[in-house]
Amino acid sequence: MNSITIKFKTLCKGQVDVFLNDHLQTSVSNNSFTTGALAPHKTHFVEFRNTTNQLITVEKLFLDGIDTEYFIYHGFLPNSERGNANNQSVKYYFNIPIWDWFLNWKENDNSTNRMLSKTHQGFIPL
Amino acid sequence: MTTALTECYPKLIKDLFLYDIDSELKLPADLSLSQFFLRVHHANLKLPFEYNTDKLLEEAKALPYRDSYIKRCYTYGPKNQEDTRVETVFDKKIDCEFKLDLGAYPHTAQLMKNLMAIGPITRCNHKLMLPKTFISPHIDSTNTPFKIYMPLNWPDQCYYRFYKKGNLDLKPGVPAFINTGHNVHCVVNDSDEERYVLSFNVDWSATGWQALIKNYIKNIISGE
Repeated sequence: MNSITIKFKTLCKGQVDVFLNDHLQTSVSNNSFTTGALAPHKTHFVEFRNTTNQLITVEKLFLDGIDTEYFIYHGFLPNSERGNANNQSVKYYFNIPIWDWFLNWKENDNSTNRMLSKTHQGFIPL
Repeated sequence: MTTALTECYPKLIKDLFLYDIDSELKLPADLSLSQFFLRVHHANLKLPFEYNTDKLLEEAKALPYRDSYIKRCYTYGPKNQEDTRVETVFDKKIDCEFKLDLGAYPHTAQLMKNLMAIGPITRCNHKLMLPKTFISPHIDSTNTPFKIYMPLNWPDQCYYRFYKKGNLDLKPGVPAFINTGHNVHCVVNDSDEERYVLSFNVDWSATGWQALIKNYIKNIISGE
């Protein structure tokens, strides 16, 4: 069991409430909080919610001190879309340990460049 | 292998080197060429000609490098194109050219000539990595997933790591086939020396380049 620090940067005109696995985090200070023990075999999620219908934009997300870079654009939105901005909530799923989960995600991410490349070259002789 | 890096690197890199578990690739005796390209992430190859690695290193140190974080010297590539880092897709034969006059670098020029006698090269760069610098874990485009990476020096505490596979066994003067398009990889120069490599892409459909791979497979089978 492990606890990690979650640090973030959001833009929102209203208040942003942070939930971890559906529990409101009351100890958020300077856009950062430390989780309780997280089970390694479960998928966890951090969610940024706004109750006044103001746009929330997640600009940075550090999990366990690791910058998750462009993963922020792969947040889950209430309208079944993906992105880092919504006027209700933005949710991110992750596993621990963060370094392993993040590298695994990078290895399998389906960015446009990689998908385009897959349809071309990389010649494999028969 | 667990490696404790100096404190100056991002946590992602330190964790990767501390906690990642190596896996050993077991190759079957009847490995085919296509299986090689699908399954092998790293293979040290043997070139069919002699060269002097110390002289190549000496010349590499004198090359003009572009002033960037990882300093690059674009040596050879498609005509009329800048170094785009990721090779663009070509659906027809491409003409390549030297990007600088190698007249003052005779050992490098001879090496290039000998390499091109094996088969076409499509891009070539010298890369200089300064002490205590790193390339964050990333995965390359599958446009050109297979590279040849030839260290001209490889100081202790210089690491090239593939996620889930471990540190590569790289040696000065030994060209390594690496698959960077299907493997997350990370490079760290935790030494106090500058690190020089020659990195190039080849046309793997050329029988000469395929012969190097076949030779590697044959040596694996014979246990050499």
